[in-house]
Amino acid sequence: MQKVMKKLRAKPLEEASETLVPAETAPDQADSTPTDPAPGDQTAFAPDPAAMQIPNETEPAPAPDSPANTSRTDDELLITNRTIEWDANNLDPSLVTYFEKYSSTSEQYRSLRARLLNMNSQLDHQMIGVTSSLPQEGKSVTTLNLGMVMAEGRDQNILVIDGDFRRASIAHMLGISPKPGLAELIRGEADLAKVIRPTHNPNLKIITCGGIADKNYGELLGAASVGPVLKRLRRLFDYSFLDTPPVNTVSDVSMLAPHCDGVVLVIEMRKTPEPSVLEAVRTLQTTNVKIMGCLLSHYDDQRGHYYERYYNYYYHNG
Amino acid sequence: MSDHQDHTFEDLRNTVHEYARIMRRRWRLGLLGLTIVSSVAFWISQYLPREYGTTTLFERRDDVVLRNLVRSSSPYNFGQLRSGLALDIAGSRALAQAAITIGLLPADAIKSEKALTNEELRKTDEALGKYKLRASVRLVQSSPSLDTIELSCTANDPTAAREFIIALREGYIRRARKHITQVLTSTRDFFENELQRYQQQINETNHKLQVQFAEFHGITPTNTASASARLDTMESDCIRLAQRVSELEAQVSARENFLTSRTMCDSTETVSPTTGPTPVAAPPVLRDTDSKIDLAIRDVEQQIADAILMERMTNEHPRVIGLRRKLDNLIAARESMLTSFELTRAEQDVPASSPPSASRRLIKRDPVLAGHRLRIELELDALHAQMDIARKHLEEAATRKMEFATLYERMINEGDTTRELEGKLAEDRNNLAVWQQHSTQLQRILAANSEDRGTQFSLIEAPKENPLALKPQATAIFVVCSGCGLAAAALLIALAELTDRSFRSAGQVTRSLGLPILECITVIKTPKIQRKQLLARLVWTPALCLLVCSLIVSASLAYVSLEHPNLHDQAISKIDGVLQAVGAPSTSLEKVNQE
Repeated sequence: MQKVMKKLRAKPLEEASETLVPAETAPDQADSTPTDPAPGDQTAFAPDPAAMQIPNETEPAPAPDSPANTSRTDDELLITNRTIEWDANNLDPSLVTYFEKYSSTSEQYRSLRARLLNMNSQLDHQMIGVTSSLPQEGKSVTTLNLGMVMAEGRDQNILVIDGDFRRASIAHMLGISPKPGLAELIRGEADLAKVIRPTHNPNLKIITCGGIADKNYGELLGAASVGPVLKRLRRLFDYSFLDTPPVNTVSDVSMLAPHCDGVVLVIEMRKTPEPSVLEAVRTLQTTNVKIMGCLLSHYDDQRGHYYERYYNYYYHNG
Repeated sequence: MSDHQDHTFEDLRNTVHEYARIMRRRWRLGLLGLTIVSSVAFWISQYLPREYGTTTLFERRDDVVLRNLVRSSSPYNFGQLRSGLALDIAGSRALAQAAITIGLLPADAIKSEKALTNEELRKTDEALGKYKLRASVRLVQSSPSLDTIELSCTANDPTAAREFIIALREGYIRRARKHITQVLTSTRDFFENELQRYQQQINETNHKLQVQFAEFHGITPTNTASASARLDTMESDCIRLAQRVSELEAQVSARENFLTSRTMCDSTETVSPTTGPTPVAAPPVLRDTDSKIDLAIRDVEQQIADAILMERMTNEHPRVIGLRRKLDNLIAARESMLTSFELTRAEQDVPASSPPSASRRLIKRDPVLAGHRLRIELELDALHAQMDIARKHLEEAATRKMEFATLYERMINEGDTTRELEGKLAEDRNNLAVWQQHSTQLQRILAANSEDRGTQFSLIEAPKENPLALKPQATAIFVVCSGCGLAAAALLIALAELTDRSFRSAGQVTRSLGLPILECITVIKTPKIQRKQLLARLVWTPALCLLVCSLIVSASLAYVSLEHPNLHDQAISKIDGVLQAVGAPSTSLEKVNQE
């Protein structure tokens, strides 16, 4: 039954890739190994004025009313296999799953991916929030790396949403403009097609936080359109990872997290005080948010060195 | 049981792992505390007051004679003096006198003759406390006549310790000699009294014995065997003399019977010799000669008897044989003289007108018989005389025997007393000899020099001025300073761990939150983090190196100050020079050392 569901779900994607993906960026190539970024190779990408600072797009976004997409729903047509090559100079070095795909840290993210997949045995579409009790604990890094390793599978569409309107960490890490993003989508100022950003991986899409001129975040997140927008995104992608602000700092999580299927709580070892984490857990529990588990970042246990050594041995000698 | 052991081992392993994790995490903090605190402690240790020590070894040899001169119960006995050695050398009075000697106390500080007063004790303690002077005595080797004494002294100044120990030793020697002289002087009078007493006892005992011995001529009063033998001899003498008397009486009786029978035979015509005219007596010359010969015969017989009875000679003894030969010659001479006299008188001196007597008639009838009768008569006269003498001798011998028996009985009864007197006399004489010998030696000792009088002191090991401090010891300093540093490091780490409220392990998160751990992501070494780590290394490494260097320098200075003080002084002076050149304050260690 699950296999049937997968095939049914994958079929439109395959058809779309046949029609939309150009020959030079075939899905096989995009799915196999990540092509090393070529910072100087700008000729293959045509800049899209509409995407403002989106770098190196390989294919312009197809028009929603294109004849090729007539057999699909409008939302499904938004998900294309269009890819872009990231400029490595603009990327944050902490994207370890991009720069060091076969490092032990990347493998740790894959391990996290496996656990999340195991927890979702019904293969439901899920929107998972990533939060922490305090700022600077590694939420955005975790969200992006987790999204990238989740997108390594061929048959899963992954969306990474930047829900931290105050910092726009995802956009900063990728070196792209936060606009247009989730804020514009909520306000209805931008289409979904414009908001969803392609990445080097056709299975991975990014929605940045967008821009809020008056910094009235509460009003934005309290808007009635938040729920429908997030539900729509959840329906479109197999897994959506929502990067949220810290729980104890602002109250945005209380408005975003209820729309998620679960929340991963990031805890930075040896930094985050225990009372803060407890307070965050209590806050999440009071808002009836399911805490799927904790992710310990900056974990410096000696065990990590052993894993790294064995991992390197396995991959480089095996 | 196995599960329990596994749990215990697991707990232990977790604990060790936890401590190892803490040390990995906090080693910089620990090293910081260790180096700073240890450096400060090592530096402070140079200012700690030092305790210097010195030791002298000397020998006290008691005179062999004087060792037993004084009775053991006497307080002046050498054994008693040895038992009080520690107090004599390092007692409060000795310490006070030594303090006076080295100038710590004025000369008139101690006025009491016996025990020190509280004020004097307080002054002494204050004076000694300036240099923290302490003395101790140990008897390294002890024999009846030889003591090896170890005198140790500690102070906060090596020179003061050396001077103090010399003063203590010399003071003890001086007091000991003075004391011995006093003892010997007082002992001399005691010896003389003892000599007089023993001499008097000997005289009294001698007198008692002499009184008893005066009654026993030539006999030891205690020798009962000799006396018994002599009593037996006396009894034998008495018996012999009685036999002699009996023999003589028998001879006299025989001769009288002979003469009586011959007179009866001749009475047909003559009267009996008892009734008739008595025979003509021999002329005086003949009688004198006969009596002389008779005396000589008796004398020889007496000599023979004495030789046999008294001197226990046999008949074969040459002297006895000679005496018997002499006796035979005398008897033969008297026989020949009497025979010739009878013949001559029969031929020439028989007048016709003289009344006829029995002898004359016999001579006329038988001159040989007449001569024989005359001889018998002469013999009878001699026998009578001999018998009188023998009886007299018998009476004297009986008297002597009776007296001697009485003495012998007294000797038996009073033998124990006499023996006691003799034993006492011998003991007194021995004691007197011993005391005389001791007195002589005492006179010799008193006549000798003060240094050689009675007890001799010889120095085996002179006290040295030891610049190395006894306390504090380098090992103790290093242990204490390192311990302080380690304690500070442990305290800092513990404080850091206690104040750190962050999560440090996955288990802690699970226990605290009750949430599952999805994954542990190690540190992603971004260039920023690497820069921070590099910056931390650039700050921490020189700081820790500097602290380790300061620790090494301070520890080296602390070690050198204890083990090589001269080198330490040089180093400190150089450091002071450098600090003065730089304008920094002096270490002031040099001043402390000078003080």
